[in-house]
Amino acid sequence: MGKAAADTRQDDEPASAVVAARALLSRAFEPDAARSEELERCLRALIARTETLETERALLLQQRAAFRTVIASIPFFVFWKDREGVFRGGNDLFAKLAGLDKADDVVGKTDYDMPWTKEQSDRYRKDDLGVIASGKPQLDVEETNLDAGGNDKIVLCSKVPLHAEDGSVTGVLGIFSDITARKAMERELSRSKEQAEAGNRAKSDFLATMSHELRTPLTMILSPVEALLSERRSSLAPEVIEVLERAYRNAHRLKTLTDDILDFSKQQAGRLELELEPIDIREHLTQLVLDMTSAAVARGLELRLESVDSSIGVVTLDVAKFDKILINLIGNALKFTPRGGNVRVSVASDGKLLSFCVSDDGPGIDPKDHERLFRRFEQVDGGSKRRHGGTGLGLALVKQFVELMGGRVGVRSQLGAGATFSFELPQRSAGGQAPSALRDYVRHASSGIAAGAARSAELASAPVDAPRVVVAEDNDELRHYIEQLLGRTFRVSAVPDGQAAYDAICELKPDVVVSDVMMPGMDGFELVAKLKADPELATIPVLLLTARAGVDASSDGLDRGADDYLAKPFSPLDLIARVRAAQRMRTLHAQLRESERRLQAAERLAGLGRLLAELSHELNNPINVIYNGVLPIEDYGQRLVAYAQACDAQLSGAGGELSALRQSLDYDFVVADLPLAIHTLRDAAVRIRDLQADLRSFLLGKASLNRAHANLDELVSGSLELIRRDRLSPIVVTLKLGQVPAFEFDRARLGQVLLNVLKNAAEAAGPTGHVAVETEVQGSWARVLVTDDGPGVPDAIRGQIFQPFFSTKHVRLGTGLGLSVSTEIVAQHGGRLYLDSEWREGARFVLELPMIEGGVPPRVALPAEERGPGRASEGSASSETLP
Amino acid sequence: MTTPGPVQPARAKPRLLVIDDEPGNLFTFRRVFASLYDMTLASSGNEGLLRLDAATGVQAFEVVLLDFAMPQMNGAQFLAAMREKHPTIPCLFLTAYAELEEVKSVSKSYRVAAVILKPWEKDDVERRIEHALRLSKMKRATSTMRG
Repeated sequence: MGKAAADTRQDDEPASAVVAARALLSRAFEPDAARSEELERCLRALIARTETLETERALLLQQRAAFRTVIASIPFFVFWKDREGVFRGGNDLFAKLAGLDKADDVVGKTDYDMPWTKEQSDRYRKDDLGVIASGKPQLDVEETNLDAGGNDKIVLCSKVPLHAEDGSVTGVLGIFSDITARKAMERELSRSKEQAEAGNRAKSDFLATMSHELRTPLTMILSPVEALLSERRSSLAPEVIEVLERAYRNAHRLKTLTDDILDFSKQQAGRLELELEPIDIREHLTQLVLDMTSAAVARGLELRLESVDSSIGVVTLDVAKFDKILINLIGNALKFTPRGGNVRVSVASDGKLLSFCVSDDGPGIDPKDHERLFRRFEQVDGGSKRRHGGTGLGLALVKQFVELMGGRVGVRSQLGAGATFSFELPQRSAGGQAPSALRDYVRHASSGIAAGAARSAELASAPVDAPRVVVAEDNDELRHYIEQLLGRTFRVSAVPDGQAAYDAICELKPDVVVSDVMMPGMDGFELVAKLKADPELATIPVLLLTARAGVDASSDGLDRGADDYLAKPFSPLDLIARVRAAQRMRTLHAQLRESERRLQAAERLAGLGRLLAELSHELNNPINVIYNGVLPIEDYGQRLVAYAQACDAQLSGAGGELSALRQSLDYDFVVADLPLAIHTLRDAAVRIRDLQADLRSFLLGKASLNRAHANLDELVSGSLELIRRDRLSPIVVTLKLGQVPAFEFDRARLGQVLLNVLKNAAEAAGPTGHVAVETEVQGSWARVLVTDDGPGVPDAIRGQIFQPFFSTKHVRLGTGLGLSVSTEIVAQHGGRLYLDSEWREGARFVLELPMIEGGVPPRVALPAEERGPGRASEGSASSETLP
Repeated sequence: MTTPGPVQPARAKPRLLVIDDEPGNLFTFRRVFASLYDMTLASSGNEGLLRLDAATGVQAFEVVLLDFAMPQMNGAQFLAAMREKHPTIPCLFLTAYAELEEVKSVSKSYRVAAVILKPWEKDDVERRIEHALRLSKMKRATSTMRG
């Protein structure tokens, strides 16, 4: 009972039955049948109630035991406190944590009696009060806790309020778990994850680097093989071609794989970016399909581009990725479709989306495999059945590229019913034109053995004044390709070998030469050497196309005089850029040379001008003496001769001393010749004075012609006479005058020209030589031909002798201005002075002058033989009057 | 084509002083104009000044013909010296440097009657001398009238 009493104290006892029983007991001794009846009823009720309680108690005890067991055995730390923070209980785990023997030892203690730190206790107390005040639980709070052993624990704690019957909060129940180990594991895990990620990044970087590294040697394999196949194909045996093509195909496949890996690793590293540019879809697709046609044909397949929606014009795309998508899809179709099959490419547009389809009639793909198709490293017919090479990255990349461009990729296929791969891209209109049909995507060059000579793209032609380029390339296809490539910008003449190139270059004098190195007959190096040896052609820049890439080949080419080189396979843009650069360089060089020449000429002219000005002044005095001195002398001469003749007549027949003097004097000749001699001198003096006047007017900046009616024959013979007299050594001259009618010309100036030309001829002929001078009329032109039998003018300088300041031994003129000034004077007359290019024995200068029409009717000229120098002098004297 | 005219009395020929440092020019000038003028030749500016001073009265020079570019004393310096004592005698330049700015400016400031370029033309020189003489005579006449 004692125990029961204790229990009732604790248990919720039904009080009404007890109260009723006590009341009955107090009246128990009053014998009363009614009361005993009532007593009996009460006892029965009490007994029944007691039985119920017993039952309930047993249940409770059972529950309590279960509860205790739960509390004791759950892997959580459990405690409960009253409102004052005093522990009212806990489980063994908790007690152990607190360093106590058993759970009951917890009762009556506070946090401050526990091994944890004061700060921790303060925080716990604060949390408890929070829960008590709010009546709301605090769940899953992660906090630290120091256990009895002094170890730091990380715990995850929940605290819930304890309620009394009336709902008031009587305390706090706490449950927590030790998550220290879990935490440590989490940390360990995250560290492992980081390590794994770093490893992955390293792998990606390695892949990227490797694929980059691989591309270079691969290109080195591809280029020479391709060059062999494209340039030397005709000289290769079929079996060699087959082997080389296989090597090429596989190397190319390897390169494609490498590119895939690179793209993949880029994508892994999140480095893929769109590079949008406008392209003409129709043109681009046409080209791309054409380029892949050869691969299709090689596999016995038909590849066709069909139904390109004509409304699609220029759109903005990442061309490289777009190409990759299509090449992958078409490549797949070609790969999986058996011989005799068809592959179709089409594109449609609804204005917003571009839909591309690549269909084949190959074996098809089981729909259950469709989903796997676009995953990385999956090949549907994997395992031992694997027939086709590849990384399995292709379609995954396609998917990624399409999605990167904001599109979707899909496949429709049934086993045995072919497959259609499609993708959609948002249609971004470029709003303009594609810059050029030429992509920096060198399909022709890289597909090499290639594709359609039947390039439908019309050949855009360059303007008629475009720079000229001669292309030498023995491979027909490549030649056509280059021709087409450069034809848009340049006037291209394409020839198949070095000799033809040389001929074309000689004839056309192009601005740039593009030449293959290896050609039948004259090869590229030989062509360069030949061009560079010719001063006329040496300045034309030569761009060599060499199959041998690398520094060796370039320095080889450059050593041999090429101005630039380009390794095959080359990018079309590169070729155009280089040709353009070479052409620009040449223009610049020419301009530079020209301005340099002009500058030099100007400087020389300026210096010469100063010199001439000085000289001209200094000449004035001696010319004055000669010119004015000769006048009286003429007078004296005439008078002396008259006197001498009178004397001679008087003294006729006188012998002795006078007779001897007369004989030694050669009196008859002297008397006849003296007036002529003086006349000739005077004529020369007049001409010198005139020249001086010309020079002066030239130096003063103007030299207008002073035309007057005059006789060319007279001028020619007079000039010749002057030359003859002037020279110490005799010259043999043949003079043939063609009775040129008088016409208007500047006598003094043309005299200057004739003197120049005649002096030249006399100089060239030398003392033993011969000079022939001829005048003639040809239509309305008067011509003077001056021919000498001297050494002739070397070809090299023929073009230059008429340039100002050109001076050689052949053209031995004091100032170097002689022929240049002469040319100028003749040009002022509307005529021409030139060197007869046909004449090869010695030199023949031709002076052509137009006879002014409607002039005075030609005077009847005396026969040449009867015309002496004196008459010429007379003529000159008559036109000598000055203003 | 100078035809010897009738021999004129020496007194009737105008008296010219010709100054040039080149004897060739002097003699040529005298040779060409011997029949027309009574000429005194001087081969330097200094000599010219002495001759000018020495010739007085009826011997006085009526025209001075002067080279410009001469050593020691050039045409400009000569004119400056001459004008102090002989302000009215007309002067003509006979020079190879007619285009020089200096010649032009000197001619202006010293009232040089004419600048004749060498090589000269006989007729041209003669015409200009006659012109200078006439002008000079007219000036003398007017100044005498005033005096």
